[in-house]
Amino acid sequence: MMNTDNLIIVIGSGTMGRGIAQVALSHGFRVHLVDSVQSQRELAHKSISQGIGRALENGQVSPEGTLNWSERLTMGPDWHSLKPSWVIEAIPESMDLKGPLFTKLDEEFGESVWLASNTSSIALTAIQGMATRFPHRVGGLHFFNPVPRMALVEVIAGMATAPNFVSAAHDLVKGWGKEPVTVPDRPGFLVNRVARPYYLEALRMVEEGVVDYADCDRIFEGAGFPMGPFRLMDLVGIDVNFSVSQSVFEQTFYDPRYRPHALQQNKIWLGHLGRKSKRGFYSYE
Amino acid sequence: MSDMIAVFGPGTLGPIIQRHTSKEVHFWGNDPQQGPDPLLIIDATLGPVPIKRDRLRWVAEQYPQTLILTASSTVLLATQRRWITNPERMIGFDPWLMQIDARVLTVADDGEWRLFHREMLSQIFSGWQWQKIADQVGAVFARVIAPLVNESMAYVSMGITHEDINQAVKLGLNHPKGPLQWTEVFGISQVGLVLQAMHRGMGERFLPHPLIQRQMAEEGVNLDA
Repeated sequence: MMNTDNLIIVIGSGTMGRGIAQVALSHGFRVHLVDSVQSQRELAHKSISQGIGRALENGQVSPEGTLNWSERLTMGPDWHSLKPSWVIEAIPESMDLKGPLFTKLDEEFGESVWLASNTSSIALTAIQGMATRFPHRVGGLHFFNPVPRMALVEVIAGMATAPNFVSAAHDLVKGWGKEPVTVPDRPGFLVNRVARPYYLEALRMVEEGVVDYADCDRIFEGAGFPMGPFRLMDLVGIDVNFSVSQSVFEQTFYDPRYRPHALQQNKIWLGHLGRKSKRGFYSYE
Repeated sequence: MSDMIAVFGPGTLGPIIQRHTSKEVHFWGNDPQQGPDPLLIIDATLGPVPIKRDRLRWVAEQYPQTLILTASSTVLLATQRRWITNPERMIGFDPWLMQIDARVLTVADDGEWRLFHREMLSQIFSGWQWQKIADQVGAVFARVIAPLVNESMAYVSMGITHEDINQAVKLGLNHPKGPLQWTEVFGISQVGLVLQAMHRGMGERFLPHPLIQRQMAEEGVNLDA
């Protein structure tokens, strides 16, 4: 039986973790946010407070849902003795970090606690393989950045995930005002996989001299895309985009469709990562 | 020469083109027709290549002075120019951008985008910007959209619904349409023709998904048919 006390443990207080915590807190849930670094927890608290304030001002969340949110938020370096209904992991994208974490979570929490990873690129079945006691209660909840504004959540079932994980995940995120879509556990899941040509073919066209990057953006923006591929790579981070392509490429056993592009690698070497470094394909000085 | 624009290709194009010009637009359906010399002929068909070639040869002989805007996303403009007399009057374009009434349309022309061509298109049409690109199959827009559709077919074959795929891509990526909604606009076989052309010219990664190949076979559509 699932625990029904509405407590969610979120592990990792970076951009994604704090976003997930903010959304849960905005819908009446209790949240325990885990991060080993105190200064990170303090930053997360500030960010959540500002985020909820803005969302209230803009009418994106209800006053009832956010009522007493700060009393429902606890933070700490660990989760011991808590009894959550869900644990959502949002730590950096590294199997070396996620694998041991899921082994520990699987050992410490009873079978009724759902364990979810917010991974964007690591195979769920590989994570399940690290939770050998009850792998069927492990699955993926892939939120998109910025979490409070992006409606989509990919619900990922690994090879051993129980069907009721999927239905519980849908119920959870629908209750948070999100749109869940169940996707298979294949490299890149659905969105990041289908999106690859948008970036990779654009990069190849520039290299081949078919079009330059600014004109390429102009063509796609003229066709209704909010951002052309190069402006979007600058926003997301050229390094982040490159690492997703690299991950999909490796996990598909080097399928040439997903081969990362040298132009991105060169930009990374130069530190031209996009908006965050004030220079990517465009300059933001 | 009359003051009329003749179009053959997808049926949705006629009204879209008419919205951008004060000239009279004659929609010829899939086949060119006899009549007074048009000011401009638009061939928006992608293939099959032998049929496209025969139609263009016929058009070029019938209307030896008329400027021709031809879809070059499946056959290079350079190739098509070898099919006709007075080849310098032919300009390549991507009909998909015209079909969705995009703000910027891509054109392929000689190394230097001919001033005469540019001025003529700007005079005939209002509200469209013309962007010159290199002459390459896939052009720019179709080169990205066709592989997006191809990728999504793997999910269709796994039982994911069209609705879920479209919803995920629109919400997750802010694309104006989901990948399967593009196929509703262009037709899945037309997507297959673009993929076939790119597969031939640019490599294995554009091989059409088996579901697209099956659909093309059922409709009897093939680039070389």
